[in-house]
Amino acid sequence: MRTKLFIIVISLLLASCVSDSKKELFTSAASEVQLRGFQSRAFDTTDREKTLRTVIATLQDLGFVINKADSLVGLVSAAKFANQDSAQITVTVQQRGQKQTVVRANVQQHLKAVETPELYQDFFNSLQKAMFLTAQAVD
Amino acid sequence: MMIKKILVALSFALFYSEPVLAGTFGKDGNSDAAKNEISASDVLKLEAESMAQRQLQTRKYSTAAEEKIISACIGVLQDSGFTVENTDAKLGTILASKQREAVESGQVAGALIIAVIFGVAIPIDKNQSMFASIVVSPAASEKNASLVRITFSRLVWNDRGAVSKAERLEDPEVYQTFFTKLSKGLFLEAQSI
Repeated sequence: MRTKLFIIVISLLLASCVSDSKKELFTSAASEVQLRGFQSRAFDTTDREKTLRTVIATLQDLGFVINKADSLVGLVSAAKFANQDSAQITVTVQQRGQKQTVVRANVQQHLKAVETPELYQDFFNSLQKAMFLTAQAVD
Repeated sequence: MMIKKILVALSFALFYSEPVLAGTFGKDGNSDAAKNEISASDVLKLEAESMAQRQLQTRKYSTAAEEKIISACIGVLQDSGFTVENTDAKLGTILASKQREAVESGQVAGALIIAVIFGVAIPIDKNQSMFASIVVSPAASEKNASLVRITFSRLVWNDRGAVSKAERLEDPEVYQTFFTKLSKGLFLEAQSI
């Protein structure tokens, strides 16, 4: 009897501290400014289509399968598979001012947003080689 | 008693035979069976076999008419029962999929043996979604030539509704088959890159 009561009390305590899983909708560990900082790079080009094509080729070389591409919106989404594991990426390509194009990538893996700046750096390293242009920080 | 011994011996022999083992643990003909998970830090890194993958998945065709290639690709996919989900003619991308059964006899046999010996039911693969992702682009090295890169992948669900496999297909034969069909559709010879 006492053990049962104990379990019930523990469960009630647990219930009181578990947050609403619907709140996942807008949660992120990093701030918006930080996110944009490490997820974006600017390139000195105005050729959006060529940039998109280079992004597609880079993603393929990184082992991603292209799911969707939209030249009008400037978007590519892709997934990477290895047995039960998968990772998803969305890359957007937007014109910035008169001379630059901004590439932004965001990745999710293992039910989480990837918010490690170094990982995005890996992506932009490969991309800038393929672009023959330097990836510049966006401020 | 004797029967039980024979059964155990037989099941071990079967269990360790390659096809059953492969079927049970999902290690099929796919050459990347060794890597089970993408490690979080490597997700955006260039893999060692990246170049080999590119060669496997890409062929060059001596035409600059991308729309013609896209149409021919879609034709080949339709011939194989795929439905097209998404295309972007300007970027030369196509995504197609098909849903099929994924029951494999080797795996069923493995599950049956384990059920008989240990009395536990292990999940077996039931359904799969197969994807074909194609990108057609101009060949950088040559004028009037286009590159076609296709990647086949699939998601498999077991009879409990959980994803049991999410993998890129790396069997050279499937790629060879696709490009043979595409060459016929285009009346052009495919060249390796």
